[in-house]
Amino acid sequence: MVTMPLPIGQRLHARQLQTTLQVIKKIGEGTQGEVYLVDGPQGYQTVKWYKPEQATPDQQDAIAYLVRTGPPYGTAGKRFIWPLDLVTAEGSKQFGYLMTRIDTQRFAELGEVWAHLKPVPGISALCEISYQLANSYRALHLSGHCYRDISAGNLMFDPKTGDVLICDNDNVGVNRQSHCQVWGTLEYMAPELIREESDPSTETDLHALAVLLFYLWVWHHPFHGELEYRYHCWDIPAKKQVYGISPIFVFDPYKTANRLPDDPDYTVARDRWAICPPALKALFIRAFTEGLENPGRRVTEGEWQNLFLSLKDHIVPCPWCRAENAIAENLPSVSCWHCKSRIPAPPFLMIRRPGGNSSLALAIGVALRSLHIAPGTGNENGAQEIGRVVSHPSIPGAAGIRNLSDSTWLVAFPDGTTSSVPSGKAVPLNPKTTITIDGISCTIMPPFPELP
Amino acid sequence: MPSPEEFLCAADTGLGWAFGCSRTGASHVQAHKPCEDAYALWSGSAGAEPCIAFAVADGHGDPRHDLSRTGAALAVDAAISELVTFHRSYADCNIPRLQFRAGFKIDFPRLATRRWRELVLQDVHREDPFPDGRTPKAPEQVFTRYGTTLLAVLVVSDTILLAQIGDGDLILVRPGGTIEFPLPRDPVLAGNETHSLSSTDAHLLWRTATIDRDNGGVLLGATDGISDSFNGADSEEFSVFVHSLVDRITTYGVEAVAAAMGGWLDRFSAIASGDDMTLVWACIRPEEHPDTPASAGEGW
Repeated sequence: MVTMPLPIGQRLHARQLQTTLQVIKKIGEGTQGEVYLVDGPQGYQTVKWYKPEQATPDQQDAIAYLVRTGPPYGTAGKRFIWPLDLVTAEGSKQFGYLMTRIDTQRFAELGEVWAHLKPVPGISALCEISYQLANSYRALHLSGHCYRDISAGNLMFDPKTGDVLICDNDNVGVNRQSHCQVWGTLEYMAPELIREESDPSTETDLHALAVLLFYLWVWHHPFHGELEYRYHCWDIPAKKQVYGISPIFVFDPYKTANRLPDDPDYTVARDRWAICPPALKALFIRAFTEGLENPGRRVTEGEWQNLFLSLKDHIVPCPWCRAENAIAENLPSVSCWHCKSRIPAPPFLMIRRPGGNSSLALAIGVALRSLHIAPGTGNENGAQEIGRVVSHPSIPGAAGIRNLSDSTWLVAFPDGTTSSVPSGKAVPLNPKTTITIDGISCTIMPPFPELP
Repeated sequence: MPSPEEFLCAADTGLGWAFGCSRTGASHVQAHKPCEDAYALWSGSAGAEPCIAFAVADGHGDPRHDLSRTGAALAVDAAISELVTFHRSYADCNIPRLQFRAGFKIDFPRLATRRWRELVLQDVHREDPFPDGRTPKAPEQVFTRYGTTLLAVLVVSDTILLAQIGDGDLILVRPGGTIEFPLPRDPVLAGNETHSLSSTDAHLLWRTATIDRDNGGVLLGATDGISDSFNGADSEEFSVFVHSLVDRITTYGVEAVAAAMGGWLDRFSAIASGDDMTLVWACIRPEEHPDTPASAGEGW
């Protein structure tokens, strides 16, 4: 007979892998079960072991299905801590599943960042976290599945690099088909789900994703304003009212009934919203106004992806305090959110791709990557560096883009002359210079001029 | 200063017993300063669901936080009030445990912080703590004077909910003797400072955990004066103290330990940290499953 918690040394059997695992220690617990560090032929891994009441035949079938199908394809799928195998113990009807071990020193939960236990991600890392989240959920949805429990509790991220891990994938199911024991957390549930007018689906996942992204950027719930503040008893009926029956976004441009109250609790949310780039604010407003009642108007993962890729390309460090700031092409300068100094606009690289134009702020140290030229191709998911903005070695204030690719760039200067720039050489950052990289035309645009 | 034999107790026969004891630190006695710690215990039920709640607070005590003694007392009031309200709001509905636990982590820090601020502002209006025309310019200045840490615990039928802002220790000793620290350690801040309920972003600074009641155990909530007397909560000496405390509870019974606790804390303060000392210990009975009823007198 096997008891809970599993005793140290307990032997478990991985069904498909046909291997034996040994329990080293308990490392966590949740509502559905407990998580153990185990040792096996693959080294240290983890096992989620279900509680007796959760170890149902349906749950076992669901895990077996996930093991059979595997995670979504490619880099986007590798971020899911997917069930690797069904795990059983001799003499027990309970079961669990095997998964890879998470480096909890490197990866943080959002609550750990709030409590100052892990570093606060900068704007660039936030863009990367947000991009990777959207990218992975897009891959999951494209594979015909929905997650059904998107929340900050299932997300871990590297605050420095922005790399993401998505945990607790045992609730993943076939979109609009499979039954599930978990319907998510109220705070993240779409209004139609709370009103019991709909089942969990990719559309309800999109609402939860928007709430999660809002938490990541603003550190606040999008509906926690005057309405929540005025409830003396914040119970389930009150939550259903605020999240499901009459949700109003705290920054809704037209409905003002749920503004942030004048209370210190809301200072952080107000300050962080103020530094959100306008394009991000616009998508949040759409997600939490039109998208509430009309699921078809929710922001898709693709839209989030494109936004965060673009935002990341517009980040420049403040020359005075080094804080990261997002800067727009059509502004002569921005005020640093941290030290309030004026940051002059840098030149931009306008990239004209068949799928649409994009731009990259050319601050010192910025990398031009293969995804900027040909999205969706190349190694390392397009992250391969093919150019970098560098200072001129001897002329103060002068800069150029160094060719770090294997190919030779063709450069057309404003005076009409042309030149070839081989790997290792740099193109000066002169406005109106056009660089052709693998057939894609990129033009250096001058900074937006100051008003006279 | 109250007699060392004084302690408070709260109990629910199904869940267990909670005892608390608070002592003025030796250095405070010498300096004729009051104890700036506070604790509160509560037991009761809602919707036939029993619960035990306790809270421990440690007022910061330096001149910037000159009303922190009151701040600590208001903090334990706020915590118990919010824990009981939280329990009541979920006990009435047939809510999945996932929602219950997630709700605690998401809501309790915000609501407890808000409640504490309300109580502080009420106290300001009642006591006028800004005499001589020293009117504060912003509410933040008011809250700073009342600055305190806070530990809060709610024990219900199958779950133990824990929350903490600032330093102090929450330790669970399972019946087998395993010591668990359910919450991550408080980050080390410059100048021996700690996170405070008076911070502007206090609602974000909490650490929370929800754990299974399972086989129960002894759950300790202590201000940092105690672990500081043993070289910190990670030290072997502190582990020995925790185990010996649990052994004494098992051997002599909770009431005997409760009666002796004040004297022990006085001695620790006198020979070690000198700080105020507050300890709450909850002896949590094993969770009763319908198929495995606990026999009378078994466990704590």
